[in-house]
Amino acid sequence: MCIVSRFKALKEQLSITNEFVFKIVKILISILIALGITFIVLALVSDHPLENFITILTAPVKKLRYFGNVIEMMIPVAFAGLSAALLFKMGVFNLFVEGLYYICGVACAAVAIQQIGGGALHPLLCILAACLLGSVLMGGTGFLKAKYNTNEVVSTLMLNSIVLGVGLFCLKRTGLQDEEFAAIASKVFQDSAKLNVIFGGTRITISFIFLILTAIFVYVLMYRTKLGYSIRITGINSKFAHYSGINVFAMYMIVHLISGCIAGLGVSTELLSLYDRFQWTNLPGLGWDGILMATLADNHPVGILIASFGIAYLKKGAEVVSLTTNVPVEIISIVQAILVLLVSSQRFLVRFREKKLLKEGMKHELG
Amino acid sequence: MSWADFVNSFFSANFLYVVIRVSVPLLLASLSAYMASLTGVGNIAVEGIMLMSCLMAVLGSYWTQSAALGLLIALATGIGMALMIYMFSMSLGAQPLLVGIALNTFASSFTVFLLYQFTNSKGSSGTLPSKVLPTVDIPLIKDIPFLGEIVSGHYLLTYVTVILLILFYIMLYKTPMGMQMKACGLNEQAARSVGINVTKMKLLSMLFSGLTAAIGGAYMTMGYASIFSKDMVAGRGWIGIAAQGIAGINYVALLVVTMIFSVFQAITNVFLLYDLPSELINTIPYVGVLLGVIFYSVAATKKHRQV
Repeated sequence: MCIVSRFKALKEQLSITNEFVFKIVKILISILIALGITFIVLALVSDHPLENFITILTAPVKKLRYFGNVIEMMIPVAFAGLSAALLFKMGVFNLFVEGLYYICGVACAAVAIQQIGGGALHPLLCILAACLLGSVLMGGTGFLKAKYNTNEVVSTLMLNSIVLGVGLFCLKRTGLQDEEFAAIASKVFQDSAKLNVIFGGTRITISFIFLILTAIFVYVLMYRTKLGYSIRITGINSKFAHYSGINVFAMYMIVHLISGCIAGLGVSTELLSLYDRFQWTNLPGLGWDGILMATLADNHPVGILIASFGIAYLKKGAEVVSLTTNVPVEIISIVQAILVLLVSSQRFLVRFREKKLLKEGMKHELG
Repeated sequence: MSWADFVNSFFSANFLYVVIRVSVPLLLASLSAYMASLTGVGNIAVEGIMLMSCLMAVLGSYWTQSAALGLLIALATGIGMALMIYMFSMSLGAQPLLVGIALNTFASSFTVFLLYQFTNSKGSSGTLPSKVLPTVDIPLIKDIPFLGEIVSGHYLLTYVTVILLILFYIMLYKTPMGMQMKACGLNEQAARSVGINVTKMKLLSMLFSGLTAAIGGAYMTMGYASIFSKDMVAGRGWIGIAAQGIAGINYVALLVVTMIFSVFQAITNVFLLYDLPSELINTIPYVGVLLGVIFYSVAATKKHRQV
């Protein structure tokens, strides 16, 4: 009883609403269901399901290298999530981040294979190229949305396929391709372009610091500045924002430009950290993953970091299992799909919540 | 190979045969997107559903050693996935778009998971002895020169698709049910107020959407190719969504647009032979839709300003 009352006091102190508690409970239950179903699937395909399941949950913290892999996997997805979340917060269902990851990757590769000379200049130029292209393209979709209210879902879905074709064309026919390499791939990135490892024993580069800074930037921008407040108001009701004297067009443009820049940053740091050459011949899927993470986190920057860390953690665990068994790492797609479906379902568990609200209401009435 | 050969390759019975061959999955994908958007639910998981039923057709026919049962399993998979979209978006209040994205990424990975379970390969199902559906020679027509070469000798599912297209046309334009479905998409409240069972219509439209996407998927591995390979749908679902984006609720326009896209796909195949930039030809359908959407919105904005 003491613990309960203490918890309640703490809740009031931190001004945590019941809404927030409900959200957390809902996510926890969703995680339990998702892991439960994964366990069932594991039991169907594996000889030692329990053992494997425990490995999935514990392997990444057992070795520094594994934990490093988790961070590496999480970084591009979290960047994509941040990029998407800004737009979603604005009420724009823009799905271009997937396409941007491809085309900005090509731009980054085009700079990374040139001989430019040492120092921080080369990676900086690569990242700049990607960010600039990302901003320009995303800004284009933003302009269409802001000025003409173009349907962003259709236009960005089409753009994803268009930039894939254009990117492949650039890769194959503008001198980027390494003719001697067996598969379709760009020439090898110059050593001067690559980002340095900052934690010994892992492959985590400065991109991790970029990610944290970007997340802080997005958080401060959205929740601690006047600009962010205006953006959120525009997202809730753009007409209201317009009549309150907010320059809606400028808000749309700012958000799209920043979002495109974050997407460019995400893919360029990913390529310069972990790849020797650009060899995606299809959309990488990182953008879709990012969009799903943004959904899981309800578009909150901290939540996106946590969600993409969690999924990357499970992926790494499954990867460790797949080394010794016939269970492939793709089993984590089950967890991800179920989590997203349950968390984005607004009426999931709602009855339970209503009951609780009713109970509280009765109490107030009696008291 | 000279330019004359190149030009001639577009004016042959073989080219038209190829157009029909590549058009079938595109038509089915368009139908799937169309059916779902008709009642206003929307399905952007066409790609994922096709991919999943591709694999289930192979696995199903391997398990049962019967092409027909394999097809049934593929159809059940597709319909099941489409109904999942319905369940989560309509009953549980999730955004249909998000459900679609989740299913697409799920299908892309989970097919690899299943493939690896049964073939120990993450690339293709080459080692799995699966069944394919037969090709059909139409009697009489197959003996007519030129026309016979084009129309006859396709896979069974090609003719099934043609029959489906006709049946859907009749349903949409000649029966009350088709009208009621359209009414749900145009104005749900109005439809409900005149006593249309909106829930049933939406459920039906998603059922059709899953069915057509599943046939498209089964066609890919039981006719077009005989094995499953990773991500083999390769954007066909998106082309279907693009065609629906242009055509709106106009069924005939949907078929015409899809056939135009099919011609582009067939051209791509020729371009590949001559090492021409087929990547850019591939984007033409999407560029078309993008320009269409932009022009539409610009025109709408201008009209709005005049008022």
